[in-house]
Amino acid sequence: MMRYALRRIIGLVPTLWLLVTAAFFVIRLAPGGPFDEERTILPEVRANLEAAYGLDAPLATQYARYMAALVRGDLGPSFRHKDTTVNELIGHGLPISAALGAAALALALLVGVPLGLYVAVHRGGGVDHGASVFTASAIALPAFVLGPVLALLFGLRLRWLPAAGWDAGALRYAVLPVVTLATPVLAYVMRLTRAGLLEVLGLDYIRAARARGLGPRRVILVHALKPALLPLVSWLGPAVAFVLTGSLVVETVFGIPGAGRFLVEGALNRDYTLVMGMIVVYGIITLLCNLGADLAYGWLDPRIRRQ
Amino acid sequence: MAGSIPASVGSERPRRRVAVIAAWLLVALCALAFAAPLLTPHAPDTIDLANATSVPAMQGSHAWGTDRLGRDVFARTMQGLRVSLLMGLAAALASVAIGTSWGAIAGYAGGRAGAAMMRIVDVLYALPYVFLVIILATVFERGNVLVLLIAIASVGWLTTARIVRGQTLALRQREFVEAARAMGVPTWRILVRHVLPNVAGPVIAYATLTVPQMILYESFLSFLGLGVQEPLASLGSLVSEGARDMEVAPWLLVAPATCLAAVTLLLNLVGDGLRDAFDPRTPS
Repeated sequence: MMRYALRRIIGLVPTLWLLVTAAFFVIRLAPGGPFDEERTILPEVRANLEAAYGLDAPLATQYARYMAALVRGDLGPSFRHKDTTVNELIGHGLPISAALGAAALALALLVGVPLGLYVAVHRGGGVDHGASVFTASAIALPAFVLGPVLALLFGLRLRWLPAAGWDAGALRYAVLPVVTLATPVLAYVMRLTRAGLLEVLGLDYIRAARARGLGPRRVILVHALKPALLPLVSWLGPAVAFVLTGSLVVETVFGIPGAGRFLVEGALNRDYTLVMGMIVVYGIITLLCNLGADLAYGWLDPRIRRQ
Repeated sequence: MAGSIPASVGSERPRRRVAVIAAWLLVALCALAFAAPLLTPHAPDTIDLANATSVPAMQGSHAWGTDRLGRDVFARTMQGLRVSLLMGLAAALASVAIGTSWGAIAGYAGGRAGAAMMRIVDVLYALPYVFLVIILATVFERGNVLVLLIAIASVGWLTTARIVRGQTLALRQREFVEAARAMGVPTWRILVRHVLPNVAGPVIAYATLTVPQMILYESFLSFLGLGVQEPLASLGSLVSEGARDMEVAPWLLVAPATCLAAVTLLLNLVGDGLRDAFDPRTPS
């Protein structure tokens, strides 16, 4: 198992290399540069600036330099944040983004799985219908709508919670962003858990367990639960990508100093190294989480493990 | 957790009724969006600073109020709805076309080539779609509608490709396809005449689910300021404006937010209904 996991992690390297290379060349081939919007810039100054950042070298040299630095873990200087490296920027923001994302994912799983099991068991009842209205609405409501609406309602009208800010992750400030980020994930978790359990409950071995006289609680918790959660586990990898995407919006809406906003800000300012750095870091995170979900799936499903 | 274990999954009639009602509401909403210029005397981009941020009032000439520059919120929201609907539709059509051809070719070719094609889909699937979209937005001029369309369509085709490939793999083994091959029908003709008509059902169902997804992608970009630019508006850029001014003028947020939620919810319900109709086995 360990050797298998290690082999899979090494297998990620070509994918990551492909991603970084493609991103590098697509971004560099673009018309316009990071210093286009600097007002009244002398040609000499521009030449000096470009030389300072190594932008005057041939593209192949720039690529080689970037990759060499990347292997050492150096993401280079930011073009727009003066005297700051991309490592510093992301290093500052990432723990905040990670805390936000982890809290949202945990909330979605802790609430979504039990609720999904409950509505599957009480299928067709009032709670089930209510839940399906909730999941359909939650999936249709993007974070950039839900976030401002929650901030307006609970922050500005009712004044129960601050409408924006972070304050080092104090609970009062974290509630609205985490709920905004968790709601659509929660809806998917509920749907997948419900569908998974219903699928498993139709299988013969469950009927056999019932026929042996086992109670419904034991059948569901001991026999049905593990296979019922398999679709959910395989969805968790993409879910991380979903949360990362959502955190871009949530950080913008609530003014949270996370790393997500650098991706947008970098794109708006054509800050090449910042965008590249974000792609590298978030790319590694998503690939690792996908791999983790794959491995967990294999661990839970003995049919796959044996292959 | 008490109670009995429900029987296996059966047909769910109420869902179909919900889908039909949703389809009619959707038609009504689209009609409203496209008929809006006839319903209001105000153009969506007429600036009227004398009437800036006026409160929605049923009797007044601005039923949904005005924004900071005195533009009519109803006219602007309806314009945003039109832009979002058209962008969503165009991007969905493009991504379904790409996904269907990619999936059909990968499924029919099979073997190494097919596996390699699907490997590309897997890699793209694993990455957050914003990467691609943000790279494209970094590279190209902002506000170029065509680039925006390409950006969102290029992430929308992946699921269609997977669905079509699965169906094609199954179809390839069927007798009528084998018969066509034995008769010497060229491959492209088999794909067009025998494979594509048979995958049309699930593809149409999934295409309906792609439209709201595309609308959300586009709105997401416009919300971040990377999409549609002023004076053109989409629901996403209107939500972003509304969120900025919500302290003084909450109606600026409420109108586009409600429209966006309604249109994506209705499209999702219709798509779910179609999917159930074509493929009753998929749980949702």
